[in-house]
Amino acid sequence: MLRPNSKTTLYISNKVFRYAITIFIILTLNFFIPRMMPGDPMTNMLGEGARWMDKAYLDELRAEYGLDRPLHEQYLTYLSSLARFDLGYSINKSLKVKDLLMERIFWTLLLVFPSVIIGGAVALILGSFAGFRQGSMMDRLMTSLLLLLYSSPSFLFAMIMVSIFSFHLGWFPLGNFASGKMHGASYVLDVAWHLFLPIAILSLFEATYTYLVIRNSITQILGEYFIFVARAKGLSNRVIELQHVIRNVLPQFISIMALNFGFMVSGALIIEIVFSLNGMGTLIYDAVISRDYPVMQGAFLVLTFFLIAANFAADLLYGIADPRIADAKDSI
Amino acid sequence: MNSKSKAILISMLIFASILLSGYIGGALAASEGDGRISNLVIGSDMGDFAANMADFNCNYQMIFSHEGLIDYDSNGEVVPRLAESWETTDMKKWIFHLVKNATWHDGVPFTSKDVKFTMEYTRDKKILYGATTYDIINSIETPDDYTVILNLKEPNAVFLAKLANVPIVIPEHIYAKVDDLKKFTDIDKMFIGTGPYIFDSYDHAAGIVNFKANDNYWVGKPAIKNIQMRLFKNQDTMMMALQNGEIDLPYLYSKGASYYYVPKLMDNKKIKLMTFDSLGIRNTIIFNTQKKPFDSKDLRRSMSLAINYENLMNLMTAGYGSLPNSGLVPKSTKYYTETKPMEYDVEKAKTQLDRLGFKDKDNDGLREMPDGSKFKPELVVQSSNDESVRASELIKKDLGSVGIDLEIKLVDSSTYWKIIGEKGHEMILGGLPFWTIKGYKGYYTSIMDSRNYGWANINDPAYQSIADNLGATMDESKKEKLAEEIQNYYSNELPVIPLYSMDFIQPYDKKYEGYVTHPMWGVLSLGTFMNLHESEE
Repeated sequence: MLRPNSKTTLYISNKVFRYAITIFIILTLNFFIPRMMPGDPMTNMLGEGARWMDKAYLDELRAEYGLDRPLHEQYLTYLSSLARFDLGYSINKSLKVKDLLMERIFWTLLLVFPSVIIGGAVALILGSFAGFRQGSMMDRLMTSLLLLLYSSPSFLFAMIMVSIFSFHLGWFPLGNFASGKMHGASYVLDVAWHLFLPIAILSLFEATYTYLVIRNSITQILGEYFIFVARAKGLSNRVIELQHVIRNVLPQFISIMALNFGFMVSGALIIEIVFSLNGMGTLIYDAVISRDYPVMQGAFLVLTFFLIAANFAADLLYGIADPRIADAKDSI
Repeated sequence: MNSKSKAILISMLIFASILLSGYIGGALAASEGDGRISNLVIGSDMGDFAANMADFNCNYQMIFSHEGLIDYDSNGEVVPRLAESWETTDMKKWIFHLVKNATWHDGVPFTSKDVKFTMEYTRDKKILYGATTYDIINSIETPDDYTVILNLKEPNAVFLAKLANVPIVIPEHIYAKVDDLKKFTDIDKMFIGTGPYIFDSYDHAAGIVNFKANDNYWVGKPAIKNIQMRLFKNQDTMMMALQNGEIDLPYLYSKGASYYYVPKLMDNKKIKLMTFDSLGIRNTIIFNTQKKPFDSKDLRRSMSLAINYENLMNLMTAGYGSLPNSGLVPKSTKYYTETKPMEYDVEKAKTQLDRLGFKDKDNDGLREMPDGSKFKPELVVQSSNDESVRASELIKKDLGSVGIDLEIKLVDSSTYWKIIGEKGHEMILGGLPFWTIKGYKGYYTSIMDSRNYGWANINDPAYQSIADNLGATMDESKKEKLAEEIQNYYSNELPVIPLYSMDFIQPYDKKYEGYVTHPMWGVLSLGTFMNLHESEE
């Protein structure tokens, strides 16, 4: 029998190996999938670029960016660049992909991270409240409201919010992360003021889906036999809710939160468009539309690492939230 | 006071402190004693601010900080800029006489050596926006500081139009030291031009690009001291910002404001609307004239008869549109020839289609090809262009009324241009903006002639002969005759069905007036920068 620390080492090395293979597969897909889409960065220039250049010139440009070389050669160049942590230059913007990503990721995290936290917390609280009081007026009201929000088009909802709170009431700015030309504490306050509405809307959207999952899980767990036994033992409702029900909901909640955290760096496209924010969502969208392969590859690479890290964290948290999962892992 | 009330109060205090700290969200509109406007706030849809000169969309330089040898006036005719005059006798040797009082923003005088350097550097570095233009130059001479002689490889009658499309001269003393443009990230140096505005700063978080007036500008002091370009990612919030006074001017590159906003904007007493000729055609159906059965001009004409142009124009332009003639060329263009208007006659369309053998043979209400196979013409439409998507549905309905089962293929822009580039299309729906009339040999030859971009893929020797002659003559009477011939060709052969034109709608805060339009840059023209003033109202 292996000693616990050996078990842990084996478990972690096993995980690391699996993640390494996953990363390699994803990196390969990140290279091939964009290139399987019709067109390439140069075909876009047949449109607006026609204003400046003759058609024959596009082939020269294609060659300059190596797009005329066989796919396997391009793939090897891509892998060797990645090994050197070189993400290359954006074809469309002619800027370093690394710089583009760094700038965007910071602001994206500032926007999305609080939204995931607030949305998750709101969903957990409201979902538990509604789940434990299933069928009550509050449950029906909240579920209907959040279902309505969940099914409403996010662009429309966000525009309505902007129209009411920014345009008509003038409480918040119409967009961007800051007003400009501010420093120190007033700059921080200004950014907070700019982020208030987009974070509020994003949090609401984050909350709607998670709320429904939490509420329904609680409803389901309340009908389980072990809850019946707990009640028969004379445990108080509070103890049952916190120690027996919520604990069983946590693994699902962790899964959702892990996914949300993982996808954080993909940005929030709709919110970025509505509030004119330069985040990862619009960067990825523009890169896909213009077939800017280096930007797509760089963005997907970062996304991959975030997702895998979030998954890894979730794996660890499962064990804490539900000892049965940890026990199962220990027996591997 | 409960905790909720406290939270609201704290939030309100934070907002109040921000307001007091100076930001009021509005355009700091004030004109100073010298009559110049101190600050103009422009809302822009020009997207992320990427200033790299290797970027083929370096519009900020082209509009504000840099200039070319020649420019376009409001009607699309070439006018002097850094070159005050030019001459040629054989269209091969072009002599440009430069202005003598221009300096770069850092004080270094602008000379002919900068022009020579720009052309050679752009060509050698393969800079997207100018390399092919300068590639037709064989040699460049600079006999003195203010004369440039360009010896072209071949005579070119449309060289001026080509040159006007590349409105940038860059300083030799800066760029001679730059070997790899992609690695050149000194944004202050990147913006050193001879133009009316000097780059001040870019605030990524605020999405604001600041320019200040070049008070040593060789034309004179610009009328606006500071320009703030505030970047928006959607038109809705930009129009809201105009309505509540946060911006003075919404700028929509190459399209103008959507007519949806017009009623709301007209209600606002602070806002005025101006319209101006787009100098192009808003939407057309472009046939691939080498693809069967669309190689038949009779079929193209029959199909054109089924489209209700008046209805389409009314629905798509809300009164801001007009119907181009079959000769395509806009009325404002030099040597415009009156050609037949587009005709709408459903019965005639049906009769002609029957005569061509496109009949409903299986009585399903839809026509078959003469060989009995289904006739399902495919119209390629850009999915990102809402207007085109809506227009395509109306066209489908019109063609359906004569039994043509139009298939709409919605694709993203890359796929759209790939299909066109490979000449895989049957028909495409797309606009013909101003620059399309100027390219190649002029008069839409760039998008017609199969030897160039040739979206219509015309390889008819008769057409190509007219095009070649147009590109080779500067004799005004010959040019006029050839322009007439090519317009009649479009009218008779109908490689392109012009659907509707639409004026650009430009709203603005009425506290300033004097906006002058430019065919490429709309109201962000030199005329505006030099003439804008406070309104007398």
